Amino acid sequence: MRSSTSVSDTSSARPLTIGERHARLRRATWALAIGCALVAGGLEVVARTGLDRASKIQRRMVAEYRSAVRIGQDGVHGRHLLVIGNSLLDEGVDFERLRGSLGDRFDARRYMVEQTVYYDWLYGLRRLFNEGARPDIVLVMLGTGHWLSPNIRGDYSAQYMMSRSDLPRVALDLGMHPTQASGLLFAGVSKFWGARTEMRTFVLRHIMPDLADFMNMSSAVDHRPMVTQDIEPVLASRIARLRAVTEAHGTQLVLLVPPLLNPDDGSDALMAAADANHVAVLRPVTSGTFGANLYRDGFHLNETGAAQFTERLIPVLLEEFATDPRLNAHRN
Amino acid sequence: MFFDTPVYAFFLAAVVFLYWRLGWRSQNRMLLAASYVFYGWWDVRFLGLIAASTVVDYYCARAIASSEDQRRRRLLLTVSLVVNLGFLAAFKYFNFFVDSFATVLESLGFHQVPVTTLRILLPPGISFYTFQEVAYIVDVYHRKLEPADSLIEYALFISLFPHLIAGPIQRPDHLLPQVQAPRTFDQERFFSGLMLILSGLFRKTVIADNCALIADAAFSGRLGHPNLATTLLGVYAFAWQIYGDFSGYSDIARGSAQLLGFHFMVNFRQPYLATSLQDFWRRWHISLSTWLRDYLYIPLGGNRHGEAMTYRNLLLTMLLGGLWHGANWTFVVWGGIHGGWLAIERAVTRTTGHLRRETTPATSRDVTAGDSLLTLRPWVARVAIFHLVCLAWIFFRAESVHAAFAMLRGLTVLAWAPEYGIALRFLAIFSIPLFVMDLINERRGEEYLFEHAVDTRRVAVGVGLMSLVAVLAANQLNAFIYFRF
Repeated sequence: MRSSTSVSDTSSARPLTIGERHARLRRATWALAIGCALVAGGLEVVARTGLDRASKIQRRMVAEYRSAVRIGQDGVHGRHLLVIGNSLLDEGVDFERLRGSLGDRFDARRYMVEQTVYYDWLYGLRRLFNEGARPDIVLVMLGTGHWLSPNIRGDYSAQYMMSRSDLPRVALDLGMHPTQASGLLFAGVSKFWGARTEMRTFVLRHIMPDLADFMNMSSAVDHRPMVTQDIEPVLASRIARLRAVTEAHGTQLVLLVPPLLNPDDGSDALMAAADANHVAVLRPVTSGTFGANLYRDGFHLNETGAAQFTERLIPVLLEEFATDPRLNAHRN
Repeated sequence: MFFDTPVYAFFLAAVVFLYWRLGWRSQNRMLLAASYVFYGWWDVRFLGLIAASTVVDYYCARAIASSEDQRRRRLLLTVSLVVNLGFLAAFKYFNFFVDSFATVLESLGFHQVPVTTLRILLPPGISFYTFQEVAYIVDVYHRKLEPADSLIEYALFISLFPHLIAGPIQRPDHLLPQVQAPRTFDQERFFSGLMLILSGLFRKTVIADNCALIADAAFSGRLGHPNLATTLLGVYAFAWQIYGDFSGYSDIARGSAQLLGFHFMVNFRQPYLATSLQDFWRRWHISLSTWLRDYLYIPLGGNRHGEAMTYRNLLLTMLLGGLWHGANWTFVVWGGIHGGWLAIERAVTRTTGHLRRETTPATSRDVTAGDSLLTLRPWVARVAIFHLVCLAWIFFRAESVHAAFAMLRGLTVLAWAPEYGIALRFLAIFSIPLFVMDLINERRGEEYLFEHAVDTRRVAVGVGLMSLVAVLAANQLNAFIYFRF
């Protein structure tokens, strides 16, 4: 550190007095503090005004969210079907094909957010309902592992999926440490903080377009076997909580099991837990049925796999909606 | 609370704001309260532990200082050490020793040995503040230091929040007088504190957390079975991760202390530019290496009892230094590699007639001045030492000794995947900047980038670092690696 008693400055000819040096340092300190504040403030403005437009993923997600909030309220005829889920939905179901097959009888909309799990949607649906969404049916497509996950997507969920008023409950539900909980609360207030991972991803994808290939390869996969008697009670209680949220608004909850490459996907336990809660479950394709050639990365379906799964899903969905009296009880 | 979270930013800002509006004694009381809030934020139950050891040491030290009876003084010293090291052993090493004992019995033919392990939470920072307490009580015992007059002052010396969780381990004769005297607001120190915090955030969130993505993937096997590429990627990534992580933590700690008018010792000086392992330990975790030297190596005899005892002391010191990091044999092996190589280095330099005196000041500039950056021979040594350190990092990072050897065996397996090339570029993007920063700092003798430049340039660097942190931070709620020690 420089001495504070004898200083010189390269920008001036004579040595500075201590008073002058302190005055300069005070100005520099303020400039640094203001500069940092401007960076933070500027990024908050960018996050609020630019991110959702600049990023294709964000654009799509925000559009789907807005559409989901209006479901059942914007005068579109037909039974209002809201399909929610994560990348298994995005890459496993050709949604345009599905919507076309359901025809005018259904007002089908999708709200997909990548890397989301059970708690994201428990509180995500609460926010959707609070903001006015009134679907007749909510179809949830999550893998059993996603149902069991003790986490959320992180700060992103706090900003984009959940109500601020729910965040303390989320922190309690997840048993968060006070440091994590305070970060979550902050993410609910600051869009920059909530979306900073997306901003970083946006920048890195421009620097390294192929980075996603490495991230896919290196992403953590839980290889622990799913023991039915262990997971069924957990699944049952989670399904019950989600059903309580939907039923409070007169909405029917239906689960859709994604077809995984690994046949030991725990979906039997999921179906049993749903059955115990009187919640309908659709499993058009049992995991392990499709060959590896129908998967992009051993987990997500590729285009061919998605087309085949969608073709199998459509009749199952139509049959379920045609025969299930609860689903046929159309609400006006 | 972690240093790289919003809650710490608000906490620090509030503390600094209030602090400079109070008188000296009120400052101490307020800082002590803030430090206990900071520590209790982790887990309120641990407050009793740190308070208890603080009170025991305070009164033991005063009794030691006031007594002329050598037996009584030694008894009090023993009581204090047993309490401090007993807490450390109980919370950190109980299960390790029980497991190891059972393994030894089983290897001797006693099968199904019933062992009792406890689920014990490790109090954050216990290794750090215990060493600080030990240094204090030993210094008072040797009459190198007057005991603290005030319990509040001593408690603040132990718990001052910037160093509480992961150091730098403060020497009593450096920090205690600062606690005991009024601090004056120094504009340069305050400005440098802000710069150190920004520099630390950059090292932690941009460098370390991004490198961690590759290191974690490699060491957890997510990049495939260990092979030459995954082992090198993993260990290089971890080398930069742990350096960025710990030096970043130290910078933030030192910067936070400077905002409060304190000065903490430097903990890192461009360690990967070391030209020998001895040089490395003058640059890496300096507060620990000097603590081990003064309170373990020299009391063991240092180099005063012949060459064989010197080698033994070196090895023993580093083995215990390794075990200090955690209750796992991986850390013991890590310490063994360092201790063994330090002994070899000493033997080689002795036979070649270049033995330096043990009392050589622990500064790096005398060994590697900036000029040596421009000559080839030191670079050969740097590359060799870096790889020796990396070899030891494999054991430090691996889950078990078995896993570490699996990584090492991977060095003989040639395999390639396109993703490895992507990982290599990613690693280069996030490690080369830190390497370049080190070169500049080494060349210019600076603690942070452009420390000695004109103010406008320093402000520009600070704002630039802030921008990089905001945009490129990996945003993982990773505890700093050394928090778990």
